[in-house]
Amino acid sequence: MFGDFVYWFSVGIFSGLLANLDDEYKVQQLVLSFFILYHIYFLAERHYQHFIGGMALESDGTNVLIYLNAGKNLWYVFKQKFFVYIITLIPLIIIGDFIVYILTPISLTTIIWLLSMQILALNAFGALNYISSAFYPHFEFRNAEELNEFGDKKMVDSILDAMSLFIILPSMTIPMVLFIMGYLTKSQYLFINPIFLAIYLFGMLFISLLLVKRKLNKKQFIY
Amino acid sequence: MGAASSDYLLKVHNLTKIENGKKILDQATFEIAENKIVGFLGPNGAGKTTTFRILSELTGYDDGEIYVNGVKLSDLDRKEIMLLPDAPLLFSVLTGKEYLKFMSELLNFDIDSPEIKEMLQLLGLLNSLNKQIFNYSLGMKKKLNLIPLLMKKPKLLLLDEYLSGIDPVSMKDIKNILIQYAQNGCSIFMSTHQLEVCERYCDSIILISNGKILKNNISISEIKETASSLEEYYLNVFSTEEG
Repeated sequence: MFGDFVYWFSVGIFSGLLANLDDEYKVQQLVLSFFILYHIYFLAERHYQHFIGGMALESDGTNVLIYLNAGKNLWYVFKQKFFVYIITLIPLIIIGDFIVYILTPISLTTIIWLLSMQILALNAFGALNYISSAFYPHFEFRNAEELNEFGDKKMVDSILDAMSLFIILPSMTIPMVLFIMGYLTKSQYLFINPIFLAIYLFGMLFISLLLVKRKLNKKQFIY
Repeated sequence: MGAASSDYLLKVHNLTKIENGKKILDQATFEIAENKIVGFLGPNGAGKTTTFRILSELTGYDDGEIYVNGVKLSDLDRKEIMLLPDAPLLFSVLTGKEYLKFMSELLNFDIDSPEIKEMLQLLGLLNSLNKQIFNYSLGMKKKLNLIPLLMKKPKLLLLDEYLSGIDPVSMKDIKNILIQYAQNGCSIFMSTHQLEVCERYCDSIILISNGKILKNNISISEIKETASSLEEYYLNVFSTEEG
């Protein structure tokens, strides 16, 4: 659930940065940033992969005909699946944040902000998981584990993974990096960072959902 | 053609589907009237299932026109044609009751209506509703599969080999329900290889072979004037066709 080598590599980098920081506030921001971005990204991806048999767009297999026969389209099926995906993860995040709140001297306002951003990030990163299924749906699998193994889907997933790890996630930390390096004052950082993150995550969510909707709202023939 | 006229519930004109360069359906033209049970007969690979998939909008087609009550199939606001395939479509981890609840929300029908209770009683499912579906026999699964569709009341119900594998007692229960359904302004279009079943249930038949309609809407009474049974008629048509 908590990630593979890349996840722990990210933890290592963050820990290394923390070891060289004296400013307590900057340390806290670095930790919060990790919790909002990397931790949620890996949690969202792992949760999807582990429960792909229930969460994936195609997880009902040929039973998807139940929906199509009822006059619903694949966008309707996606909404059901995505909703289940999100509501099964939100309690985990709330419990995690509650533990952080109890064990650390973090303020209530900060923890509420953290939780809101994490839920937004969860939606944005979660929607990325569905793009390959929307473009290359495979309802013909025999076993749910096969859903990760279709070549066309794998290619899209690999591209999205690489983009997320090397472009999206690092670029989201730009205000924090500028703050740590002293290019932004604390007040500038407090103003810019939440707006930047909210716009970035909303934008990502909007684009992902738009792509999925445009693809799935069309009349599709899965036979 | 007067395809848009609504004297028939379903009008299919020159329906053609090509797959990998092969004509699966070749200018198929047929009609289905209201309040009728129509049999769709033909050998394996004749194009019956493809026709059903096209009519229930699960697959596309290359040419032709389909009208339901004079309205183009693609312009219908409501799903008027629904398919019941031979393999039951069910979520087997749910109980029968949970499945019906799920379907009632999907298809917008009242789960507590007396009609549904009557249907469950008639089909002998009332006492099995709290069991998980994977414990059901094939016949029970098929009966459970039928109920939501009958509650939704599509104008045309397509049964693709639905009656195969059902025991005679269940068959009788299903037959009564289907006849009652067809008497209320709806029609049933069923494919089957059980000719005696077709002879007993259907008002007329459509024969298809290699994607072409050989006989369009021949009534069972008409058939009985020329042959002793539907089986004899069917074999005559296909031996002439092969010859």
